[in-house]
Amino acid sequence: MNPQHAWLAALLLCCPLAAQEGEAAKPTGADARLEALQKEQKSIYDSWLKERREAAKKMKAGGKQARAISMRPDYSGLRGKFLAAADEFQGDAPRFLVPALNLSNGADDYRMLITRIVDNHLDSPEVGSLGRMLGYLDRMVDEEFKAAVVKKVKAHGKNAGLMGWITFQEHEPTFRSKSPKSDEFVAAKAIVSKAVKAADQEMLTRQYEQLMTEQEKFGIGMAAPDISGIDLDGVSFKLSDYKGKVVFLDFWGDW
Amino acid sequence: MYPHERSLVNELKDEPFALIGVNSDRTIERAKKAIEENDLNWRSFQNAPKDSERKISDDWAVRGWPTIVVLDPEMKIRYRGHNGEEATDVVRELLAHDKK
Repeated sequence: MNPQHAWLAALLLCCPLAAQEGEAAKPTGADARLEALQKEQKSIYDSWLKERREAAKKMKAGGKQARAISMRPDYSGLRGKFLAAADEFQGDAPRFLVPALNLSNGADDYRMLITRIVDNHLDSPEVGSLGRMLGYLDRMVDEEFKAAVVKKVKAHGKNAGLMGWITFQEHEPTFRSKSPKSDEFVAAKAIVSKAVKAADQEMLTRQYEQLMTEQEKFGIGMAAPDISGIDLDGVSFKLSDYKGKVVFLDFWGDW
Repeated sequence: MYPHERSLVNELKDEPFALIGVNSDRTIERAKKAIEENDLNWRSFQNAPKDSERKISDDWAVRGWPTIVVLDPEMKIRYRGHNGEEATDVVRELLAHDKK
């Protein structure tokens, strides 16, 4: 074998090795698995929906309900499959952990998965979509856990998605309690609008813009629009009939 | 909520105060039944009277129930939220301020 051939042979030998190494990260494998699991989730949902509809139809026709139909699809098995995939495709773990979290039920599951995500995967933009959940973590788990998670995310500081949600949630009380014309409101808006933009999360952007529109029209100190309507006996009256009084306007219903 | 609001109306009946409802029940009968059964003592707009094109709650960007808005005597908004007790605190502050 002349030297040139030796070099070629080495290259050829290397290539399958390189290919194998590329396969260890399995980008296509993870994509395919994710797709399959999403498909499975859809089919579980579709058959649950079908079952519910058929049961409702039977009930309407006067028949008896054969057995109880659960209020939500049973994803318990599928959740395990997402978790197994997270272990198998470690480099892509967040892509499986986020849906596994969305399929979870109960404080212990939330605690376990969220801890795993914030301890290992804050560099992944995939986990930014969990930010919405952070606002409810005190109710999903408890106040202490929420504080600990927020602290970790802030110490890391580089997950723009999660930071955007946290910044929004922290300033929300200011938006709701201060006049849109006040310095505090304006200062908070400058901070939050920047964080929301950097986060680039569709749902966060929508929530933020909705709140701004609402507050700039109905925030503290803004003039209330008048209401002209009829009472429950059909008699016309206006909100401005009560001008000069303090009014407790109560949007209520007995449903 | 009902007992809280009912007692507020009774307590403040001699003050410059009014509790006004915007009722979103599907039928007037349903609302009237609630009023009778719970002895409710305030006047309510119908949120979406028959043949009306718009709902009051839409005009006021209300997305959760109950929503409470407290207005001062100049009809400026002093509270907007979902917490009846917080709203009541704001009412009391405004009435106390008025007396000064």
